[in-house]
Amino acid sequence: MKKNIILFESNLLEKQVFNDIFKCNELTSEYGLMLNDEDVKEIIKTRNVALEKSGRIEFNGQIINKIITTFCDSPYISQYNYSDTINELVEIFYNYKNETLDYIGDDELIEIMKEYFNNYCQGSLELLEGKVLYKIADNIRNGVKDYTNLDSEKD
Amino acid sequence: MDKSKHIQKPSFFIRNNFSEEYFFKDILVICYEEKLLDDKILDRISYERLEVLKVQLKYYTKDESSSVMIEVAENLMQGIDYTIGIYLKTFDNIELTIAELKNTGLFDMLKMGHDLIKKKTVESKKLLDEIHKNKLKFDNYSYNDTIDYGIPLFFKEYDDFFAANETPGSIDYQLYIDNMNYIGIEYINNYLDILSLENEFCYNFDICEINELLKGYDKKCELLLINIFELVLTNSLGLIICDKSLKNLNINSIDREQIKNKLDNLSLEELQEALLKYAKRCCEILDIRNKALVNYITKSTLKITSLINKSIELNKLETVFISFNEDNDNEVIEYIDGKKLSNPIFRKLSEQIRECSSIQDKVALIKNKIKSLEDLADMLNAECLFEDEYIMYFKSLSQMEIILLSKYMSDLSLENEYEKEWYFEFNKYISSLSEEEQITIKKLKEKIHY
Repeated sequence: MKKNIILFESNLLEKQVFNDIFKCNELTSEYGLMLNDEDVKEIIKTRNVALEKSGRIEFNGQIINKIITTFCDSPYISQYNYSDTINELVEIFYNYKNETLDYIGDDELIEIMKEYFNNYCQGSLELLEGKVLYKIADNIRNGVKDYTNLDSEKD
Repeated sequence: MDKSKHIQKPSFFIRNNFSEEYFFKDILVICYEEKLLDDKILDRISYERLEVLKVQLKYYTKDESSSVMIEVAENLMQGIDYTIGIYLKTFDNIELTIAELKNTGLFDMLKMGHDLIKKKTVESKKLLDEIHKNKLKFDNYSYNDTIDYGIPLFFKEYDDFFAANETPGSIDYQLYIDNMNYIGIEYINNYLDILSLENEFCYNFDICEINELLKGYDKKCELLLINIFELVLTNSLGLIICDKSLKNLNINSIDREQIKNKLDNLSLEELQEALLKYAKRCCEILDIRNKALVNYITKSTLKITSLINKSIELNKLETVFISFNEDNDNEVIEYIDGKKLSNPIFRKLSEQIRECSSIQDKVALIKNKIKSLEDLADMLNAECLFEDEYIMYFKSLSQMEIILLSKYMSDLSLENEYEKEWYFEFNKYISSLSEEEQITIKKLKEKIHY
């Protein structure tokens, strides 16, 4: 009986997430980007692992869609690296939700990621994760008001 | 077959089988095990429970985040279960509870539970105000601190929407019979109910007598985590056993001999019976008619019984039936003043106090920041308080603090000065005290040495 009172049942939600991600192809095809069934499954798997690793729980499955629709017009993403990049971005996103102490909302974090990915990092995910987001998370933990400023000193 | 078995309620119906903390979950588990709820209903409840959680999470994240740490979700879920549990506890029997679970959605139950919590919070606040207004002037820090800061802190920090199951605040004063199974507002509500019953009992005695009793228990009684009601009730029972008046709470060694002679040969059951009889007599003598208090005294007497029984066995009655200290007339109280604040800090603090909009905040600031009598006098001189605020502040002080202030005034021969508002208000406050309290203040003042 106690099994019935678990926190989340993920089957239904996962099916819906799969369909939602798949639907993104309609938009991304304009940019020559497409995900096949296997890619989508892989991304969902990445999300599940990332959630588990970061000790988080998701109550609606919109994040992957948001990442895809935000990043699809990036000049640094092509069909060649599309699926891999999305996988990495999903992992980075959940990791930095924790590292930024939930201080910034989903949309803002994705926007920050896109802004730096397209400009400062010129498409480098290593730079985005290892330097930019690391510094931003550090700024937030130290109470820096202008936390997106990478040159800021501790207040 | 015995017919009575048919009308006897099965054991799982008994309210005690459900924990106070996880009432909602316990109901679901037990009713499912007893086949009072089927899979369909349980699935519906499980689904709704998650839907409720989703909505709460949306509010919690202000809809800015679609994921949270698992601990956050679990804490919110506990809050939801607790709130629904509060609502379900309003049903007297299991049949009505099950009918409610079958027919009402969890969203509605959560709403009604939340309304109940808000109502309980208002009631508890009122009760705390009453207790605060009629607070007894015991020389015990845990009693005073719990009422003045610990419980108000609960109301300041209690989050009835997201964390109704949590019990913030700082409660140091121990009740004689406390129900630690309660959490959240239910715990505070129950704590305040019992505290007011204990106070109501103690009102029947002269406060100086109680303070003498506490001193008799331990010279440093003000520092101890003791329950005052227990000491007063035990000595009252002792006095009744000796056929003595309850006006003087002292029990001397001859009284103890008498108590021992009367109780010595009784079995535990007989002792319990005898003590309950004395407790009843105690209620009659003190004209206690409040049924809740009479019940509480009865329950407390049952708890005291084993203590008294042990003390008789060990021949250590003096640890239970307390004598006043006799040789305290020549006692000298040494007062070491706390550290004085530097001028800039003091100036800043006095400005802060002046800026406070409520007297409660002012009192809290003064109590937290001022640690020296000199600073206190400077603050009172610095026009940080106005009119009625003085009296309210003086009321918040313990007897010892009042005595120290009074001593300070008489040392500077300010007693008959009315140049400053606070001298006048302080004298007014002192004259508003009972004659006995004024005498005690006068007596103790002379014993204080800086």
